[in-house]
Amino acid sequence: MKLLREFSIKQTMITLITVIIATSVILSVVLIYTINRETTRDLVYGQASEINKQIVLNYENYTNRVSKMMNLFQKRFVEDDMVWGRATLMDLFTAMDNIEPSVGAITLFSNSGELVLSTREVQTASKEIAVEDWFVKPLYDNSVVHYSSPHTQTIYAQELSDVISVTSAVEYIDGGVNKSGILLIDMNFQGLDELSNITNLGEEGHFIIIDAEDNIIYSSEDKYDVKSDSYSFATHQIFGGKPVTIDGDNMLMNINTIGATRWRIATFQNINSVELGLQRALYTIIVLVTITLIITVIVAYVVSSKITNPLSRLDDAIIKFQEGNIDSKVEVEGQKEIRIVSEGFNDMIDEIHRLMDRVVVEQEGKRKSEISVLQNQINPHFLYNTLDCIIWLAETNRNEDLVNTVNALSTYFRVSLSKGKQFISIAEELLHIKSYMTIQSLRYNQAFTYEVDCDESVADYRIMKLILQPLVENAIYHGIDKEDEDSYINIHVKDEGDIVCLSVMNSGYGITEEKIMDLYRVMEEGNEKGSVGMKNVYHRVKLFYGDEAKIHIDSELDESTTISILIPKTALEQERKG
Amino acid sequence: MMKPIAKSILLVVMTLILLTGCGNNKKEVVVLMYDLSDPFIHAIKEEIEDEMTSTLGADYNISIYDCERSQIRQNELAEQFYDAGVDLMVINPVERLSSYIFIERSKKEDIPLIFFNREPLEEDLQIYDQAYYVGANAIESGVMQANLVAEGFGGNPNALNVLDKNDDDIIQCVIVKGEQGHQDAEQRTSVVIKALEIEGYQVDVLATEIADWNEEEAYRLTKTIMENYGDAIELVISNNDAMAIGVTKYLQENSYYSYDVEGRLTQSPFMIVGIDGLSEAVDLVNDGFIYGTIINDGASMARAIVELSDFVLNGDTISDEFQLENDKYIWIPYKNFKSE
Repeated sequence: MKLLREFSIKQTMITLITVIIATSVILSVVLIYTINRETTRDLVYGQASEINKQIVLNYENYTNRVSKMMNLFQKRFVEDDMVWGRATLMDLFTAMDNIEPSVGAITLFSNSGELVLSTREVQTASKEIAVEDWFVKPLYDNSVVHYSSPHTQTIYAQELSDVISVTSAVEYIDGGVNKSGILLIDMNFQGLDELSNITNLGEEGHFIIIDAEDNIIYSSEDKYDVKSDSYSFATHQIFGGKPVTIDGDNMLMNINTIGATRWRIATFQNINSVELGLQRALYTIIVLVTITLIITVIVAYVVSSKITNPLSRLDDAIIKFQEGNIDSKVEVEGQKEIRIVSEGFNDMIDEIHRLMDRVVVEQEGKRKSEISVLQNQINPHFLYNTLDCIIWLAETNRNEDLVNTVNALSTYFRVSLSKGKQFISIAEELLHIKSYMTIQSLRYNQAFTYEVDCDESVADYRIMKLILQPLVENAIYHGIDKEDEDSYINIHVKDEGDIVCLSVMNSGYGITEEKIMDLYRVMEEGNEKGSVGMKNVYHRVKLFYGDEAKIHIDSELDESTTISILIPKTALEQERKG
Repeated sequence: MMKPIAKSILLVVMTLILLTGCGNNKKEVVVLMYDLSDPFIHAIKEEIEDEMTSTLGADYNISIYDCERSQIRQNELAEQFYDAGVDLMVINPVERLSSYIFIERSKKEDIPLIFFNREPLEEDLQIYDQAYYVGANAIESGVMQANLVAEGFGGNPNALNVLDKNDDDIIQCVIVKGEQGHQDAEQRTSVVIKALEIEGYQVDVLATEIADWNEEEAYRLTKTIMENYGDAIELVISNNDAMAIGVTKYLQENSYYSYDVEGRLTQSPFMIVGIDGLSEAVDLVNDGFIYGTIINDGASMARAIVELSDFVLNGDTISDEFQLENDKYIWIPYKNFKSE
C-alpha cells in the first residue's frame, strides 16, 4: 500500500484493474484448458487403448483358431490309427490346408523327428529336424502350443519363406500303439496381414508384434524393424500405455499380450491431430488472453481517465490560481464526487471574488471618509471664521487671546495633519479637540464652557484621528443653547474595563426619543439626510473597529445630550502596537 | 479411465498423505485374481482376506481385484499398480505364457511378485529373483487321481473289480479335459493316464473331450459321450470338479443312476473322478454320485501366499507347513477325498 501511495490515482487504478482482471482471466483460462486437455487426452488414450484391445482380440481370434485346429488334429489322432486311418487323416490335413489360406504346410513328426504325415514333400533328414528349435520346444513343454519367430522353412522340397512354425506335442496311434509326436503347422503372414489391414491407427499408425525374447514376429510395415524407435520403445516399456514421439509424430503406444502365445503386440496410434488441436487451442487461448488484457488496459485507462481528468483539470486550475490567476474556474463535469469538488472550487473562487469586491468597496469607503475628514479639517469657513476672529482680537488689542487663538489654530492643524498618520494617541486627539474648543469658544464669545479630561490608563491608546471633532462640532452648532450662559460641553475619555468610552456631553434642549431612533437609523442606513458628521463617525468607527464598536446616544430633554463612542480595548491595543 | 477432476483430487490427496506421512506405513499389497466367479478362485480370495486380516492385518493394505478371465484387464490393472508403485504384487495369471511381462516389469521396478494357482514358465520365473510361485503341482494331482482310480478298481492291475464292466482288465475311459493349452489340463490329462500305466493298468481312452473347465460345457458334451460310448465307459476322468459335476448332473437328469426304495443310490453307470474339492462335488462324493475327488487345498494355498508375503516383505520365516523350494516355489499338496 505504501508503494501504491507513490502512484497517481490513474496508475493505481490501471494497475489494480489490470492485475485483478489479468489474474482471474489467466487463472480461469489455465484451469479450463487443463481440464479440457486432460479430458481430451483421457478420451483419446481410452480410444487408443480400446483399439489396441480390439487388435489383440483379433489376434487372439487368430491364435484361437490355430489352437482349435491343433485340438481338432489331436482329437482325430486318437480316433484314427495312422495305419488304417491314414487316408482320412491325410484328407483332413489337405482340407485344412485348403480352408485356411494362412496355412502353408501341416506335418506330423514322431518324437524322434521322423516324418509321419505331411501335406508337402519333406526332404530334410530326421536328425536335422530333431534339433530344430520349433521341434525341441514342444518336447520340453508339451502343455502349450509353440509359435516360432518368422523364418524360412527349409525342410520341404519347396522352401516356404516368412512363415511362423506353430508346433505342439500330440499323441497319436500308429498300428494300435500310442505314440507321442510333434505336430507342425507352418503359417504364412497372410492371416496377420489381413488383420493389420482392418486396424484403424491413423496416419503412420502401426503395430509390431514381439515375442518374449523381443524378436519381432510381425510388423505392420517393414520399416518398423529392430532398429526403429517403435521397437526400442516397445521393448523398454514391456507392457501398458505411454505417449511417445516417432519420426516427429505424436503416438500413443499400447502394449498388450496375445493370449495362448508368448507374443505381445505394441500398437502406435497417431494422436497428432489431438495434440495439434490442443496446441491450436493453447495458441487461441494465448491470443484471446492477450487481446483481453490489452482491452482491459485500455478500458482501465479510459475509466481512470474519466475519473482523474477532471481532477487534473482541477489541479491545473488550483496551480493557476496559486500563480495568481484568480479567474481560474474549472468546468463542472465527470463523476458526482468530482462535480461536487469542482462546484466547491468554483464557489470558492466566486466567494473570493465577492470578498475581494467587498475589500475594494470598504477600502474605498475608508478613503472617502478620510477625505471627508480632511475636507472638514480644512473647512474654509472654519479657517476664515477663525482668521476673522484673530483680526478682531488684534483690532481690540486683546493680545493674550490673540496669542492663545493663534496657538490653538497652530496646534489644531499640526494634530490634524499628524505627519500623515491615521492613528494618534488619545492624548493627542484630546489636544486637538482642546485647540478646536479654544478657537470655537473665542469665536462664540465664550458662550459655553468646556471640559476635556481623560483617564490616564487609556491616554496612550491609539485611536483613529479626528474621530471626536464631528461630534463636538455638532454639539456646538446644534446642541447647546448659545443664549444660556451655563451651556457647557464636556469631553470625557473613560476606561471602562474592556471598553474605552469616548463621550461628548453637552447641555441644551436635548433630543427626543423619536429623534434618537431616527439618528440611529440614518447612521446605519447611511442615506443622504441627516448629519453628515454623525454618519461619517459611525462609518469610520464600524470600518476600523468592526461591529463590536458602538455609538450610543443618550439624551435628557432640556438638560443634556451625551454621544458616546464605545471601542473594545482589544481592537485598540492592536492599533497601539501598530 | 478416471475423470480429470477426480484424478487431480486424488493426486492432491495422495500428495497430502505422502507429505503429512499419515498414510501410516502400511505396505501396499495388490492381488489380481484370474476370475472371482470361479468358485475355487473365490474361495482362495476369501481365505487370503481372512489370513491377511487375522495375522497381518495391521501391517498391510491389501486390495483384491477381479480380472474377469481377461488378460487385457489383468494387464491394465497391473500397469496401474506398477505405475502407482506398490510393495508387493500377488498375481493369479490369466495366461501363463504372458506372465513374463509382469516378471520383467517387476524386475524393472523392483517390486516383488508372487504368482499363484497358474504356474508361469520356469524360464520366466528365473528372470527375477523376487518372483515366486505358490500352487499345487498339477503332476501330483494327476498321480493322486490315478491312485484314486487304482484303489477304486480294486488295487490290482491284473484283476480289476466289478467296475471293470466287460471284465477285460482294461479300463475303458473318457477324459473330460479343461481348457486346451492350460498347463493343468494338459498335465493332469497326460499324468493320470501315465501314472495308471506305470502302476500296470491298461487304459483305453475312448475319447478326450474339451469342456474348458466348465460345468455346462461338460453337461452338453456328456450327451455326445453317452450316445457314442454309453455302456462301454468304465471311467470318466475329469480335469476338475466343475466338469465332473456337469457330467454327474447329466447322468442324474437322464436316469443313469439306480436308487433303492428309500432314494439311496444303489448303482452308478461308471466311476467318475474329479479334482479341486468344490463343496458341491464333496456333497456328490458323499452321496456316491462321484467316486472321489482330489482336494486342491485353497486354504493352504492362501496361507502359503500370506506366509510368503510376510517372508518377502519382512523377512519372516516360513512355517514348517510349507517349503520354499529353490527360493521360488511353494508346492501345496493335494488331498484325496472319496466316499466311505
